[in-house]
Amino acid sequence: MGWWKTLGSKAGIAGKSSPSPAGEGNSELSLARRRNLPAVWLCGLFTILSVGMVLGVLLLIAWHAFGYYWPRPIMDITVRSEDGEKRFYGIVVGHQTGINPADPTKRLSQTRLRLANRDLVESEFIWVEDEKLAIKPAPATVGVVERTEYGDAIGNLLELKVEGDHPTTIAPTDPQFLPRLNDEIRRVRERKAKIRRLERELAYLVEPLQKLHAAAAAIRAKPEISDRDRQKLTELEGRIKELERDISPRQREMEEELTRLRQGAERATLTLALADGREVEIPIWKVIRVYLPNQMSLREKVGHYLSKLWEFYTTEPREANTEGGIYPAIVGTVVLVFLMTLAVVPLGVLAAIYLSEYARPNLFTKLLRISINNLAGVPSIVFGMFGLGFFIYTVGGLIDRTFFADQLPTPTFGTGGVLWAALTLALLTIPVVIVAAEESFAAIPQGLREGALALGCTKWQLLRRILLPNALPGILTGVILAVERAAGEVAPLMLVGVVKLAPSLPVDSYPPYLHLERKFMHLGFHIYDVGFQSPNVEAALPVVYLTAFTLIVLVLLLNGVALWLRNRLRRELGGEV
Amino acid sequence: MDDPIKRASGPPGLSPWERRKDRLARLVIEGGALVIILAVLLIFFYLLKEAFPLFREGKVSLVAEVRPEDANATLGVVVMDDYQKLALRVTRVGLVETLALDRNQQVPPPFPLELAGEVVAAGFNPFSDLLAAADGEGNVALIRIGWRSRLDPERGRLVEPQYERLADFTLAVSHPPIARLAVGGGEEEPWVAAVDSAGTLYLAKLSSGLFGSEVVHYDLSGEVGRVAGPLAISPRGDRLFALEGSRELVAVRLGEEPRVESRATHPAPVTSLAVTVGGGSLMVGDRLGRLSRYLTIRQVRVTNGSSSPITVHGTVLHPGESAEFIDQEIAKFVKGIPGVELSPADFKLYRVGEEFPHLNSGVASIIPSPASRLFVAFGEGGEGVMSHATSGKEVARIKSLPGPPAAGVINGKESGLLVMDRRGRLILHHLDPGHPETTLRTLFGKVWYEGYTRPEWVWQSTGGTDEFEAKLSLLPLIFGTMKGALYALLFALPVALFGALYLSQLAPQWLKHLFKPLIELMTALPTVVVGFLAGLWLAPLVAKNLVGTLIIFPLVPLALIAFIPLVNLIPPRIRVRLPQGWELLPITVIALTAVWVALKVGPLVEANLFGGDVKLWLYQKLGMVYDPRNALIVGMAMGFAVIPIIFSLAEDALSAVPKQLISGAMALGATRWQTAWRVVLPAALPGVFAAVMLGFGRAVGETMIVLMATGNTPIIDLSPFNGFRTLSANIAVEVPEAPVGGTLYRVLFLSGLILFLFTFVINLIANELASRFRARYGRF
Repeated sequence: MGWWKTLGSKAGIAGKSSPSPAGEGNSELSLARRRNLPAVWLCGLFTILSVGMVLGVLLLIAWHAFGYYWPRPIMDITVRSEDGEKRFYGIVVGHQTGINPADPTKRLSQTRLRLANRDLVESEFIWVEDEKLAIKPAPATVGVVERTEYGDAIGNLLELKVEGDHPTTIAPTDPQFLPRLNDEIRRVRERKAKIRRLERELAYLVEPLQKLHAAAAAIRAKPEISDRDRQKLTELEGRIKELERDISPRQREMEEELTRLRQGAERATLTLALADGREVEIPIWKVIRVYLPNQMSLREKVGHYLSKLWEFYTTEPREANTEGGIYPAIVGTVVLVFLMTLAVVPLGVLAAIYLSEYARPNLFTKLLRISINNLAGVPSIVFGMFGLGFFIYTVGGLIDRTFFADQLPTPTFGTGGVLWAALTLALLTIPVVIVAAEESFAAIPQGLREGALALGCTKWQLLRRILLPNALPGILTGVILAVERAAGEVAPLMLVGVVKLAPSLPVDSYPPYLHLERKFMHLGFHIYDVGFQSPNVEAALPVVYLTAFTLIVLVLLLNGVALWLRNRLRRELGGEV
Repeated sequence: MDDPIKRASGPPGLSPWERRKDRLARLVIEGGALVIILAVLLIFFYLLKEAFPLFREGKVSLVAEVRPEDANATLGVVVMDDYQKLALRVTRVGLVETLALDRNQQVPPPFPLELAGEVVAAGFNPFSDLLAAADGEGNVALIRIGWRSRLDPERGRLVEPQYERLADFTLAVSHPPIARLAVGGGEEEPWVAAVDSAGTLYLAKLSSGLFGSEVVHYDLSGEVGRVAGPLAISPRGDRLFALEGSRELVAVRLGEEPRVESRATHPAPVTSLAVTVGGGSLMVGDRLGRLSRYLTIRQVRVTNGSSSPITVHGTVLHPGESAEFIDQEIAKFVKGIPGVELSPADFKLYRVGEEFPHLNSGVASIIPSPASRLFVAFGEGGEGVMSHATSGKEVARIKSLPGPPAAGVINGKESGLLVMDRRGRLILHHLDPGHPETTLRTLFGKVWYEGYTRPEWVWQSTGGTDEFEAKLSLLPLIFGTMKGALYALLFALPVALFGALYLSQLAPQWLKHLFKPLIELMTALPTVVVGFLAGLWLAPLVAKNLVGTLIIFPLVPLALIAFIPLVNLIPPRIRVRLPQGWELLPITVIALTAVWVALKVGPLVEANLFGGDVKLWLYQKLGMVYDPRNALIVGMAMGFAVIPIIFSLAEDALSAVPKQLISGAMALGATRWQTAWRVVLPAALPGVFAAVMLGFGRAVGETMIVLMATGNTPIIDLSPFNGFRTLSANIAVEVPEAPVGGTLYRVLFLSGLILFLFTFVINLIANELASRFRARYGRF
């Protein structure tokens, strides 16, 4: 018997400790009210705190995520120090005032500057005390050059030099300057895309050959070579020769095309002048875009902002993930969640049907309930361990030995991949689906079942024709909630195949199109990796905030849809679910 | 209940096909339910299966016996290669002979030691593969043995010994012949130690300089008395251990000027000595069949320079006196006593462990593994035991020898043990040590590791050198898990419970319908986002204004309470008309003002009370280190993640308390608060408790937040300004690096199993409480 029952009845029903017996005077009542006020207010405080924290976190992330791509004016900055003056072009990113730790009577006010030019100045971000600082707007021809290496460069645009058949030099005063510059950048972008496509095709072409080579190398590296190994080696060598003969003409053709594309690439350079007078030549080959924030109109700024945002969602990351986009992470997350859904829905719905339609109060049902509760409570990292040990090493190892024996010891399924990650997450999210689906089965009026059975339905017919269609919105709610949970889960993925940079997507245009064994990128892991494992966290923060914002929006959207669906279901079925 | 609908299987006269479909559906559905149960069982048993081999015993099995023709000519030295293909022995006529342990091997001709007379003593060091042999006149040959192996297409792996003659020299022995010989030291400066028939110790060092090598002799006869027993030189060549008389252990510091560093008296006559890999531990076997471990530990000299006696660890030091202690923590203990001086002192030989398996007869020989702290000890009766110097685990018993061995060696892969008995027979065993370094004691108890000054709980899985010993104590991790959960609950409990009480009992309905989904939205927030904000945004912010942050916690409630008398100034006329929940508005304003004030006041307080730098002050005055990613930050971040769980379930429980109870209390004249606090809360207590348990379970298993918001240092320290490492974060950090099937891998699975069982129990309790509560008040 529960001890709390006696406790509850003592306090609540018998009223032994109930303090205000009948007949207490009005004045005393108001006194009691006044005495209670602190407690009530404290409770109110905690409520406000919980709500405030949620809103605060959302606003904080949105604030940081949205601001970054807005073009900010470039300033001409002079920093005085004992060694003399230094001039930079840069952007003011922050300001703080506080008490000077060295002299508590004085206040210290500092400005945070972003100087960009990672390869040209000592540090990209600096704090400078305001008294040592002189800031004025930089000339309108000062621009930001986004590069494929070392991040942005900021400087005064001097000239664009184009070599080739008609070598020309164009100065920024020329009205043709910006169109020509953008034209060159577009040309480079197209050429790069072509190269990338060709490279991918080439890789696809030689992949089987590489696998054979790897397998042969692995056998040669063995400490003991058996007769079977020798036999296999000869066979492998034969297959390698055959394959080489088959693909080598096409391969040579593609390689030549690649060299041609690469050679003719560097034909234009952009010259920048830094604030301290240094001149820097940047090949257009390394430029992604150029913009001049000091002469942009509001419309141009909005356009720039949107195109940056578009770029963020559609391109691959650069510079150890600290720049560029998150496209592969989005694809990885979507594929992962999709595969997980395929695994989790049948199992979850079966268990839910069992619990609501078949279960009798026996040991099996009790065990099932305990199992579901337990699955919901076990830390996610334990699922990750199980996924690693069981799915990858045990099942994956078995698959490799059975179907991919010629590639061993290079693992195919015996290493982390999107399939194993999806199965691991499916285990993790089963309880979510079961609870939601069971709830929706329970909400179906009993009369429908009785009516169907009375008309002579079998249980299967009842299920298929009446119950499943009626429960569908509820099941969908469960699936969405499971997807939401899976999209935000990171810890188990770290053990079962998520990587910071995947060379290829788990879905692409090469057969078999869906590559279950491939490693993948993931939005949540991207946040952890970029924020905590990258060499330049400061420069990477915008990417982290934007990724976090994307993830949150995704998750909250799913959550909202699920809640809306659930509420509609409740209203439609009228019952209290 | 036996629901007729649940039993129904269709009316009679149904087509058999429909009936079959119906039965099949039932089968599939029941199968689906079974899969869920099996999945949970599978997770449990899989974790168990991976963790269990840690506690398995090792295995030793007899493989082969080789009986050389002139077995009596063998000296007490035997060497074996890593693949257990060949064995080497030293014969009295001065040859290093090769014996094949495997039929396919080619046996090369013997290597001549080129000593003048019959060989009388030899010594081999398995760590540096040095062999020394001496003849009756004191001539010594020093040889390094290497192995070359290749794969032959026909005969598999072939192994061949390589000999490198390092030096030939003569020890001027006063009472020949040499009785014992030991060799040791690393690549550069090998040492040779010898004892003559009168028990005098001789030392020689081979120094290689620019102009070739020379042998330097040292005389320690003045310091070391009659050496009777075995000798051992550490692998690095920095220490020699010898036995003086029958019980006095002597540690000689080798170096430019060898000298006796420390002595220790063993409780029983010593019969055998061996150094383990790295030279950290000295294993001592005595006549009673007991094994002990000695460590060389650096001491601290405490000198009492004050004018009054002081007591240190129970020792009274009068003014001017000094004493040596091994505990480095002594610095903390005596700091601040005026006049007391600390100075580094010598290493001391210290007996630290005797939790080793016993032998039935005196210990005849101890054979250390060259790869780890594993060793095999044999007794005079021939019985052997395999154990581990740090864990003291009884890995396996060996019963295959009729008598005590004369010599033995374990190969570098720890897969073979070659023993030579006193008649020169070679016996090869196959070894499977399993996980000798792990016992329940090393996982959960304090262990005295090499290089430490006392037994400690340490988690340190990887190190820089080959000699590094993994220290896998789970206690710092369990402590870290509990610390993290504790700080999280400290923050989350009041917020979630009082918030739930307010929304369910004191606030108007519309507010509840607005706020509850909003707070529950937090469960959807990925923890990786929370962790990232905690680590990259909150941690630097708090570090910058620590005092201000700490002032917030008391200041906000105090400001509220201070403001309350003002409420009474509002005319009752107006107060009555205020809508329920109006107080949230002034609360918000007061709280925000208080936070603002705290953050402004913080730097002023820091400047005036803590000398401008509170972190420095904490360190100097309290000895606390401030780590920017600390328990305070995790407490707030993980608290944030746990709040919605506790809040939501607690609110459900509180709202499920029947209205009659509330109406009854109110009718009796209780205020809303009195009703909520004294009637509703006690009645809903089981449900609330279940909510707290589930929140606790969540905090225990949370990974990403801890991973990102702490420094992940596995230390045992309750300070809120320090980091910690939890079981879950540890798994996330270490599993990808751990070799599959290795000790670390299995220990990590064990920690996963602990997490699994822990959360299982918590869930079971919480659900039991919740279901009882439900049974009482209907569904909620």
